[in-house]
Order: sequence, then C-alpha cells, then structure tokens
Amino acid sequence: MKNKVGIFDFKVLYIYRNFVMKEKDLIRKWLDNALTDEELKAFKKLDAYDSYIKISDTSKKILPPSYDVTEELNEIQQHISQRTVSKNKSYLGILLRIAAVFVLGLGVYFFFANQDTQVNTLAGQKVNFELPDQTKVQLNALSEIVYNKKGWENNREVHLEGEAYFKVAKGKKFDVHTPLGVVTVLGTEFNVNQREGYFEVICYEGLVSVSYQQNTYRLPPGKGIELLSKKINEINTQDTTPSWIENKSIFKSKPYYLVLGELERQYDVVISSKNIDQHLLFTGNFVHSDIQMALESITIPMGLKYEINENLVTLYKQ
Amino acid sequence: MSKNLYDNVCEEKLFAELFKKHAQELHNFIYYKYGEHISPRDKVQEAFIKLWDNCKKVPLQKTKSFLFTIANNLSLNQLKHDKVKLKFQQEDHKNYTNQSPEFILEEKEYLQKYQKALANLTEPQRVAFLLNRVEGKKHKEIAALLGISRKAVEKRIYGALEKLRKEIEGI
Repeated sequence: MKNKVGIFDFKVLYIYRNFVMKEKDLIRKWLDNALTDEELKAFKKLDAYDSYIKISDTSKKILPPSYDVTEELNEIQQHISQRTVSKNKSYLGILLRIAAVFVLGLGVYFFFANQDTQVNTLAGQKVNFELPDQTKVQLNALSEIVYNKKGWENNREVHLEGEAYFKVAKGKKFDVHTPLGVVTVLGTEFNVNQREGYFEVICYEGLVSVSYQQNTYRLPPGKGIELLSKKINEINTQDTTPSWIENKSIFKSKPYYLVLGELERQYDVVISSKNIDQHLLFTGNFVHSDIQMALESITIPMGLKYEINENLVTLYKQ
Repeated sequence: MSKNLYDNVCEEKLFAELFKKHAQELHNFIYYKYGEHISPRDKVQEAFIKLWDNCKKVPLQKTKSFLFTIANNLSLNQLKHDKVKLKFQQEDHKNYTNQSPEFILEEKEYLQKYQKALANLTEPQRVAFLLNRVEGKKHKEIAALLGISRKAVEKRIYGALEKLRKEIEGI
C-alpha cells in the first residue's frame, strides 16, 4: 500500500518531520556547541531562545568551590610521604610482633615438650589413660605416673609411685621406674604395686623383667614377685587382671598395715589403729564400693571393731 | 598491542602528573553530583590516596575510571540524601553600578528559582548538564566520562534544560 502513496507523500512526511524535529535538534546541537551559522540563526528565532540563553548563562555562574590543584597535590604528597614513613615503622612493628609470637610459640613448645606429663589420682579415684603408643594404663587410687612424650617411641619410660596396671603396646623396651626397682618389659600386661616399702610386680601376659638392686627376675604369666620386709617372695596367681581393676582388693598373707593403707586410699579416710599389731598377716578382701562392708571384711577376721566418724575410722579390740 | 611505558602508577612523578591531570575534573564532577556538603576536596584526596595504595594493581589506562569510581563510592557512603545545593558566583556589583534595584531583585529571585530547579533535576541529568554547561564539555567527552552512550548524554542534557526552563518559568 505505502509504495502506492508515492514520492510526493513521502516528501511531505519528511518535511513535516523535519519541521517538528528541527527545534529539538537545534537545541541539542546548540548544547553540543555544534550549530552551523545557518542553524544558529534558526535557533535564535526560537520562542524560548532567550530563556535558553539565560539558563545557560546562569549555569556558568555555578562555581565549584575553588580548587587549587598545586596545593592539593602538595598536601597529598606530604600525606603519602608521612604515611610511608609510618608504614615502614608499622612494618617493623608487625615484623617484631610476628617474631615475638614465634619466639613465644617456640618457648611454649620447648617448655611443654621438655616437660614431663604427669597423671595422678586422689584417694578413692581410679584413672584409665593411654600413653603415646597406646599402651593402656590404669592407675589405682593415690598414685602418680610421670612420663615424657618427647621421643616416646625410642624411650618408653614411666616413673610410678603407687599402683598401676599396664597393657603395654608392642615395641621397644618399656621401663617402669619405681623408687624400689625397675620393671622392664616388651609387650605385655602386668601390675606394679609399690607402697610404703612394699613392692609387687605381677605378670599377666608376656614376659616381665624386674630389676631390684643387682638382681633381675624374669616373670612369666601368672607369676609375680613381692618385696616384703626386704625379702623377695614369689607370687603365683590364677587371675588375669589385678583385683583392684574390678573394684576389689584381695590380700594373701599380707601385713595388716598394707590392708589398712589400701583401705585408706580407696575410701579417702584416715584409720587410727592404736594398740593393734599391724604386722599380723591378713588374708581376705574388701570391696571399693561400700565402706561398711569393707570395714567389716577386714575387722571381723581380726577380731576388731570399728567406728566411723566422718572420715576418721577408729579400730579397737573387742 | 602497544607496550605501556608504565605498568603502574607507583612513581611519584607520574602520580603527580596524574593528579594535575585529573584532580580538578574529579573534584568538579563530585561537586556537581553530590554538592559541597560531602566535601569533594576530601573525596579527591581519599581517591588519590587509594590510588597510591593500590598503585601496583591499577594499570595506567584505568587510573581515571579507578579514581572516579572510588570517589563516587566514597561519596555514596557518606551521602545523606540531602538536596544538592550548588552555589552561584557572587556578582561583582561594582561593574553594574547603573543597575536598578528592581533588576537586582529580579536577578536574585531568578537565581533562587534556578537553584531550586537544579536541585529538582535527577542526579544524572544534573551531572550531565553541568558538565556540559559549566565545564563546556562536549557530549562525547561526557559520554566517555560517565560510561554511557553519546545519545544518552544528549537526552540527559536536553531533558535537564527543558526541565529547568519549565520550572523556572513556571510553565
């Protein structure tokens, strides 16, 4: 259809468009300072010419706050140079801080690395724990083990005071130092008891070697030795673990003071036993869970009576 | 590809040159955009300090856009959306001793209306218009500066002009 309208119509459309667009275009061109002389004349004939010019002229009166580039540059250069100095300082500071942290860290590391690890129990308390090579240790009441984690693989060595049951992981020789003797083993299970001049080692598995003074004793499973009144006695047992692991203390022909001492440790009490011969031998046991029953177990066979007063237990003859 | 003489602007001389080249323009841009209450001077300083801090990361060709972006962001952070109020140059009345008081008063009123109308422009309109009218920048330059097309700049400036005229003359 449009083709049929012909060139004439198109021209009219063009002129019309030109006429309408002219004003807008003129203004736009003027705004871009791109008017030709002819266009400028046309622009000047616009109704709003005066107001455009006034707006434009007035806009030129808008004054950004004075800005002295040189001065500003000086200021920023001063600022930057100052900051560079202080930055260097702070770099040094940061470096020092890092160094301090390292020194402190190393110090702490060496302090702890060289420090012995200590495990101890209070009266009436038993503790299970593992040494670095997964050797299992059960510590009976009021006992203490000290060892050093550093170089553990090559130097398996613990210091024991009191009583402990060891399940030693296989590896190099394992030493238990006690004030009375050294117990040396490879992988095995054994119990070491060292109290008040009494020293007892019982082997439950493997092979245990005990050095006492100049002598060395080799213990196969089920065998043990005890040091009582400076005499070495052999022990035979059918048990596979020491009785205290099962919260029971079993005594076979042991001096009475050892029995009382163990009871004191298991129940955290003080036993006063005047006029009683503590060197009498006792055979029997007591449990760790009931003080009444435990006291009865150890007093009745000896023909004694007891009285409990808070944590003071008094034993007397009937 | 041509190799750049400088990879970065960590050179004090170069930095100074860049400052001389861009500081004024940046300052006025920020002023037109946000007015004086955000202190465009400080924004320029901060932007250049940021440039110095990041001198290794900013390639020379990108310094200008870096500066404008940073200054703009800094201003936006501070902006309290107040109406922008731009100041006019004080007329030197000594040169117009023969002006009638009526004329001076009219002129004053006109300026007030103008200021108000200017504040009512949209921010893009005002920035483009002022860059064009006050700074005498070509549309092409403004387009490059704002990162928009020439046509868009034309539209903004024209729109601003018409809006100002209508508002001032109360059409």
